Amino acid sequence: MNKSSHRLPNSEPESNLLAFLPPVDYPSESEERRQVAGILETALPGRPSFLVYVTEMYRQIGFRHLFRDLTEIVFVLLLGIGVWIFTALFAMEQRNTELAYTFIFTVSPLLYLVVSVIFFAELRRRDTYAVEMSCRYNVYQLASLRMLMFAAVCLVLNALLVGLISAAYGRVDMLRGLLLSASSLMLFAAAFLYGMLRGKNAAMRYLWVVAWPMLNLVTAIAQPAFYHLLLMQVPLYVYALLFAAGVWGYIRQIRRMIAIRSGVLF
Amino acid sequence: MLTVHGVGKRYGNARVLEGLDLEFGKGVYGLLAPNGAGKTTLLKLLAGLLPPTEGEILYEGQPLAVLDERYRLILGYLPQRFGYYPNDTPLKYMQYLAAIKGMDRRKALSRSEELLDLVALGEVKHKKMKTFSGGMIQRVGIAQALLNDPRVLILDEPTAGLDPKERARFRSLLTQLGRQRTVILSTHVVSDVESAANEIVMLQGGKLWVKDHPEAICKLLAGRVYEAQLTDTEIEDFRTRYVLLGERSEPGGWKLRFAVEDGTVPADSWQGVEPGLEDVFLYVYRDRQPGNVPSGTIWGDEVRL
Repeated sequence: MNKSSHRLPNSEPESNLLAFLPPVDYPSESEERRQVAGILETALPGRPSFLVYVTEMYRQIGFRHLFRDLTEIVFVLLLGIGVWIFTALFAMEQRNTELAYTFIFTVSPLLYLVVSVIFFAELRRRDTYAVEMSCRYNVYQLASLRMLMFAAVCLVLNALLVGLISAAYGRVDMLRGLLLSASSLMLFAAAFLYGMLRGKNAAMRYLWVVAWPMLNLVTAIAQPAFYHLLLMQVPLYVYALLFAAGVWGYIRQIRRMIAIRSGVLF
Repeated sequence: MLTVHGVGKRYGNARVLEGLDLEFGKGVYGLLAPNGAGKTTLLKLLAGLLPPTEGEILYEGQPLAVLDERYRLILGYLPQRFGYYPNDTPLKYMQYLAAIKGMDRRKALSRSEELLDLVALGEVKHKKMKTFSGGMIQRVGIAQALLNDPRVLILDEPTAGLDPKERARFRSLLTQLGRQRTVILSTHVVSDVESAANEIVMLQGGKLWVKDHPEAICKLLAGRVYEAQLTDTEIEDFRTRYVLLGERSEPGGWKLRFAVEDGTVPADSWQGVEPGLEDVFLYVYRDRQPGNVPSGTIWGDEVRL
């Protein structure tokens, strides 16, 4: 191609030359912002994966600083375990296998619930919020790491307690008990965290705490055959799938919490 | 460089800040305004703790929201109400904050000790903070803000609770800090920033009124500040006619410091004095009623009193 063909005739005044150019559609402000965000997204180093991020966060903060209120947590957990065992003994005394499974499914989120509720109540009360929010790992990122660990610890403790029930009361199938417990805990935890993050007021945030036992109780009383069928006859893989769905939902909420940058929730 | 571009902030229907355009480079910036003028809100916006309702804040050309954690890595912040765990020692608390600031653990210990020495708390670093006075707590707050050697240091009323000796020490520290980083502090104690700040930012009705060197701001009142010795009977007349900037009791009457409207012919007995930043502050924010605009006005790019 002839190079000169790219040149505009320079004998014309500039304003006339511009008239030959096609009109330019300038992007809207929102489009400009979107494109700038896209450029930044490409240019800046990307966020590490969730697992890498939380592992790195834990490595940097350490157990001692992450659980600075360890004494209170242990005390609350012991109290929860006490209530768990006491109600388990009551359930076993009835010599009713259906009741034992109902108990496992309904009460499994208890430990998680007490630790979490106390943690969130404390989070609002303390006045270190502003200074902690200005740190690299802010209040919500710390909270998400703690919630992740609470869930893991509660899964292990629940498994031990189900094992105890199974050993003491021979008619409870160990594997079914473990899957019931794990799936109920993770489904509850995901819904609990969803409520905490999305609830516009205290009633909405804690709705699930009341709804969970009520839902189980009402179903067990109103539709006992259906409820016991759900707990005792549904194939185990369904509970494994429910557990996986609970874990997925929970991690999703934890990731949302990690991304919170400002404002007061809970 | 920290850039505030068209920033406004609302809480519900209440507009706290409006159309702020500011730039902060290296140096010390004093934010002066009366209580309730939006100083704390502006500092929270600059610290990334609050999102602006409109406009954006950029650090080195990038929005704080995009920088997120990377901005907090280079940020030091002292909130107006510095919270602490009463059962912690200052050293333990500093180490905790160093951990969540993402600092290396070995460095965190030495840096914490070094900073506690700097704020003269080295000898009580193992004592529980519940036994500390307000001034000591405030000094822990100043020390923690410096933990990660921040490039942007935001201090909300850092001298609250400090005694005169500690204030003087702090001012000297401020001057040193401002040489290598951006330091923005709010205060209503004018003397805290008069000598240490490179620039003063004054807000008026949620908008920027002036951002300039202290000397330039003082010149706004040049030739209009006087002192006079008055009797008890004369003083009431002065109070109604002029803007009172200070008064002290003297044998046989009062010594009054006051500012007059532009064009006022001074009496022979008045003694003209150099205006200070506090004079400007008192003049601008005099008789401030909620909703009323203070007396300073902006004419185009020019600020007048």
